[in-house]
Amino acid sequence: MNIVNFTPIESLIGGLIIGLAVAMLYLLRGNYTGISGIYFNVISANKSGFIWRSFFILGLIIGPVILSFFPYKNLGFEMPVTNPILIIIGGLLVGYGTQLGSGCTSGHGVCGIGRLSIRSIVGTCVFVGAGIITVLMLRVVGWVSL
Amino acid sequence: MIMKNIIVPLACGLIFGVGLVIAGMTNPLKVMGFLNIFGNWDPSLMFVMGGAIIVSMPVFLLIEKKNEISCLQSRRGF
Repeated sequence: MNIVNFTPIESLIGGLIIGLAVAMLYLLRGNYTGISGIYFNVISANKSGFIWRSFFILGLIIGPVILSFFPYKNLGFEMPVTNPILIIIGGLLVGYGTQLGSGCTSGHGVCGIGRLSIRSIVGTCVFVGAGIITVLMLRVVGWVSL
Repeated sequence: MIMKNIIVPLACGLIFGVGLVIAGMTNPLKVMGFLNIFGNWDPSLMFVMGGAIIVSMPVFLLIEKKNEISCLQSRRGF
């Protein structure tokens, strides 16, 4: 194991800001910030809660857009996978898997662990574990260079 | 209604997005780097999750406990 690109301070500060958003949405609206669930309900045009979820996604997009007007060194986008077909398959699998598992990194990893849900703790361990195995396999076959 | 349906979710989404960028999590290299434990490992994502949980956990646990108490009290009222 070799530690690279590690940004503990920026990542911790970013994490605290994410936690603030999660706490605010729970305190002021009573909702959990599960990005995959919010996004799913918007694109599947679920009428109940469509307005607030749409505005959340809008905020999620314009936040980074506003930040991009400031000179900021971390606004990089580097894709370790170059094959566009692999990227599309990856995106579809993320969408399918988060629906099947009822949550993603934000829903299970932050909200679920935050409220000490056993299902979420197990879920997070499973998807991080599966991700580690997947990255290892993709590196072995040479589809990803990390 | 405007507050609850527009301003609060818009602000929360905006803050969440800004947090993601500052944390470096809009960069797929950093997310995949976290999963690359058996190679060039980037532990940053652990700090993002940890930071987010430190802030949100007390809020979740306090409110859920309060709701539990009020449920018990309302039951006691019957």
